[in-house]
Amino acid sequence: MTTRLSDRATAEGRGRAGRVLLAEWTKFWSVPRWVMAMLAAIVLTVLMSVLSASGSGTDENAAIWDLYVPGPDGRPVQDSFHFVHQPASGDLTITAQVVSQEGRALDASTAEPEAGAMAGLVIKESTEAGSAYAAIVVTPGDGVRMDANFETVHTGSTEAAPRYLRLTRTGATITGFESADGTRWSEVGEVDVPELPDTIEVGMLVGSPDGVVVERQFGSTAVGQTSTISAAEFDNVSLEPGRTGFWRGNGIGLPGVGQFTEAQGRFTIAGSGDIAAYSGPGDDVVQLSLIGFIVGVVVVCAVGVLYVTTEYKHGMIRTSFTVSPQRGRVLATKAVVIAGVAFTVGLIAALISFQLGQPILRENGFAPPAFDTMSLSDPIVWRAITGSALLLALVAVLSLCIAVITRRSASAITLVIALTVLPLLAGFGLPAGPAGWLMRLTPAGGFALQRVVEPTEHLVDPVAMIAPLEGLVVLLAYAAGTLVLAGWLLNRRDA
Amino acid sequence: MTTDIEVRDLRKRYGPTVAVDGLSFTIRSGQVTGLVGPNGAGKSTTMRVILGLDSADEGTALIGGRPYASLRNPIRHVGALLDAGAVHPGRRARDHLLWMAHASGIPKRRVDEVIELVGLSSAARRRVGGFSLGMRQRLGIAGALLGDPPALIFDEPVNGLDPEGIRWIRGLLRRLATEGRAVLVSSHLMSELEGSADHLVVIGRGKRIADTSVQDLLTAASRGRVAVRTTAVSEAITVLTQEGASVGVIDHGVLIVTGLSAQRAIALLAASELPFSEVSGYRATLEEAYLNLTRDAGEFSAASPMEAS
Repeated sequence: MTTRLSDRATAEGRGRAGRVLLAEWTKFWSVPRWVMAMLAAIVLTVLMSVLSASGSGTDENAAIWDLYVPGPDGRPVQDSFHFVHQPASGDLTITAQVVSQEGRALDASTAEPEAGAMAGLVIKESTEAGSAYAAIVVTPGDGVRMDANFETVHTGSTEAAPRYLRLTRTGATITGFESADGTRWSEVGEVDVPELPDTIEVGMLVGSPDGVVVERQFGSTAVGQTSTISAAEFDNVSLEPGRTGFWRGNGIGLPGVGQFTEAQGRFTIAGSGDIAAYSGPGDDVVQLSLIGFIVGVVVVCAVGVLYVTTEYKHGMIRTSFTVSPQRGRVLATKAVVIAGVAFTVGLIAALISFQLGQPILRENGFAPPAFDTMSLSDPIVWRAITGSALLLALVAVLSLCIAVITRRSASAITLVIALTVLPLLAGFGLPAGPAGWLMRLTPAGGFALQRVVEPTEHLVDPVAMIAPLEGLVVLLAYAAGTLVLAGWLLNRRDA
Repeated sequence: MTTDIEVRDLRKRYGPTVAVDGLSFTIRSGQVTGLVGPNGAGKSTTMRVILGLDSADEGTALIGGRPYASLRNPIRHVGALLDAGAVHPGRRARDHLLWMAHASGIPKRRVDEVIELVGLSSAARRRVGGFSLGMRQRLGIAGALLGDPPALIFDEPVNGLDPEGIRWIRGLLRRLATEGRAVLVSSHLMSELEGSADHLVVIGRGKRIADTSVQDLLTAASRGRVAVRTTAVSEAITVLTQEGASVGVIDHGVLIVTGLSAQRAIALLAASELPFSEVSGYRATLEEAYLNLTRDAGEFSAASPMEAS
């Protein structure tokens, strides 16, 4: 025993937490099977992602121009409504009162208008579907909003008709106002539409988006649409400065659909259709290239569990706690190590999967215009990639903590798989509502971190129904909850 | 840094089973103390409580006056070998010691030093899964010595060792005590401690049966007895018993005489002209002393393996 250990000699400039971290990291890398398993997690994840991408396909692009028109920027848009209009030049103001709205399905009669039925005012480049525009509309469901070039730019009050609306054009700037009585106005917002020429078409619009019926069966969804029509009454229509030309009615996008009548300055306009950017079927091209993470999660779960249960199995947990009696610190350090390893694995696997998967998916039909081309220069792609890494990291922590709680490999792995993978399968067979809640209530929702498209109920995938943030919250809650429980049990139980 | 291990009124129960029942003893520096009792007597439980692994229901176990959990870098105060199998089989021997060193701020060169000390240098980079029980014992001992601690606890360290290993570990225990360390060694076989222990704490069913120095114990067990080697066994027995001694035969031609001094025995045998080749004070073995003790305690038999600990 030649080395005399003094406190000074052993401090080595590291804090206690840092030393325990180094110890737990040494424990991890010194078991080759775990390192191999984590490398295998990368390979398997990439392999399954690529296979899955190769097996996916869509004919969305083949049919897209039958249903959509190119918008001002060339991207597909739906642009159909009934337009009662006249040409006008220069700065102007149009005002009207939407007195009432009612609607029904075209094939059956329902008294209620669709919540999204629109009645309002529009300034449009031309009567060509897909041309530039700015509009202010009132809807029964969402109140007043201002749209321009197929995007909502401002939202106003949540009041439904009757409502006074006004659009003012000053150069390229369009300003929208609303009022309850036609005397006291409040501004909804303004927007620049530089595509508008000096002479535009101005007037009233009525539209009614299709009703959507989603039918879910195990493993598939069918999205059906029913056409609806909405009728609205307009009164107190004025176009400044002092022009009252001849009002013409056109079914934009849907020629021959809709009509209007005028009696003593009171207009009754019926129209159908929607004004919106193409939203696609909800398929998420980024997520589609990261499908292999379901395998990655299983491998990471197994390693996370074994990282703890082998210590119990061999009695090494006693050595660990004699070396570091602060058990909470040991647990936290283990969590940091396994989370760090899993995050790195996830990051690498996601990057490779994405880079290999995107060209395959594009070849299989997931290409513009129906699908945006995604690349690493899009920040949202990085959100999905780091989200995938975070998914693995948090599943690893969850596995570790459940392993501390059960102390048995088999039961811990079963439990984690049951919580993170099983709900995905079960979600396929459930109606949309329960499937969504299953994702919000189980850590399986964490897979939503891989999505970049808005939540939708039009897909089979239950994960598509919740937002990434919701998925992160539920997964974090499970990881943190089990961490607290595991820490409490560790301090309470004999080692 | 004096590091006595002090156990006071320790009580620990697992469900309905009382494992340790009001146990008190002190392990002093510079001595090898044997903790002896049959399997299931509470030896391992006591050691786990000392190391803060199991919590005592009552009583305290202090190391240099402090509970284990409050020690900074505890393996530099107390080194312990509880279970030689407590290593991940996929890990290399050196890596197993390396993580322990990292956690306690012990430099790497110390790892290589203890590997050399226990004679595992050639196996240091092999995976523990391929180790014999004896090699695992040595690795466990290396872990206990890693922090160069003033107190050491070994649970059944002789288990699985070959005779050479047993000799080695006895020497090591003696050396550690000579260096001034407090050494606690448990065993269910008293004979294993022969020649290495200075002090004994004998327990049975969680209770203390004896807390004594080996010297005192042997003296007590040997007291007043004389061994006589003679070829005239029956005549010698007659002569000696006539003088009031009780006589037993332990071997061919060896009598154990109680109640007479050696000089008196020689005088009697000489007077009767009986041949004898040796008359000496009888020295009891530790095993024998232990059997005496446990027979008095009347609670258990040291020879039967009994319940697993």
